[in-house]
Amino acid sequence: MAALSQPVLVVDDYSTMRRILRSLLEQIGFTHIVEAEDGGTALNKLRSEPFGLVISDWNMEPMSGLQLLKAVRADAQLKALPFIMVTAESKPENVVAAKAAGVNNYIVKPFNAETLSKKIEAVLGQFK
Amino acid sequence: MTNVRRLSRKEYLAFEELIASTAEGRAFLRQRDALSRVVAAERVRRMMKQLMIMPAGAAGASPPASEHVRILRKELLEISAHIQQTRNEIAALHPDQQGTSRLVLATSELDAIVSATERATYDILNGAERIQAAAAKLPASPEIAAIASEIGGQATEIMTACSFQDLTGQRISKVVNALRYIETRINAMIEIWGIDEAARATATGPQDTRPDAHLLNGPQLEGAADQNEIDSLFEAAPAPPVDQNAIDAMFK
Repeated sequence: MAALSQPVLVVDDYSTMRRILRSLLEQIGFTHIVEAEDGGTALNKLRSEPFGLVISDWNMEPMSGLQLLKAVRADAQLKALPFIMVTAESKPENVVAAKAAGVNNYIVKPFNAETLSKKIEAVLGQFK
Repeated sequence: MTNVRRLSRKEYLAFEELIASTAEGRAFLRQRDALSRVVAAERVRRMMKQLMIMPAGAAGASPPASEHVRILRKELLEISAHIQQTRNEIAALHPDQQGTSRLVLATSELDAIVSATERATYDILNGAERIQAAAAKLPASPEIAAIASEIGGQATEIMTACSFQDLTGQRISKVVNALRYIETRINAMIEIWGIDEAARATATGPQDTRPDAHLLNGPQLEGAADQNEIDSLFEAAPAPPVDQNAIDAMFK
């Protein structure tokens, strides 16, 4: 599957969450996974190398996941990049704000492997 | 008689701003404010004392006037009691002589919870990954493959359940921020009320009366001995061997 060879950027300020996501993505079949601990670091990585998917937390400092999403959508080179938010922010207004900013899907923590797999499949389309 | 010139409000503020422009000036202003509070409090105390010793109907006061004085005295006593109680309550929250307030301790304990759960989560993740790796090495026969798949799936469930550490960490961070905010506000109140060492000394918190209370500190934040150090303590001074006869002798 071509999508599985695409590099994935995992953005979360908790190293535990990055490790969990990395492990789950490896089980799904992704082979190239890069980690970033906040939005600013992630944006620098996105601008320096190509990625096929971003999976990002929301609540991070100094740049949050929503700020990262807006920066990605405002960047001519990155604006079409698939972006999934994985967050503990579960209020409807959060989901609405993320959707308005252009997020492709939204996963609330805690989640399971099946949910992650289904959302990635939905976003990437051809994922089986 | 010499006329004492009074500064206008504008002049007063300008001088104050000038003094406050240096660290020494700010220290001077703080000391002056503290002194003013002491003087004001002393004046109130003196007035109250006079009221306390003033007999009803004193100084030729008419009966209604003496009744007013009595009510005023009662009100002032109540206000004084409330002020003292408030001072004591705030003083109880102030850092003790070792410089550690209960709020600071609570914050440190919460930070320690985050660190401990992070370490534990890493250990659980390591274990889950080892289980997955072991399951992947099982022979590929149909019945064993199903079991291996089940083991791998359950290990994955363990891993995703570890996301609790992120959620609890975020919640604890909120509590820590709230505690820091409260601490700042309390420090501001202490500054305003000018609570001194004497007030702090009288404001003691709940006391543990157990005889071994001095040894009961719970999990340590720092300076704790690890198991190796504890083992070496035992090795350095081995307990004398006690045989069954000696034990039996203790029960005779």
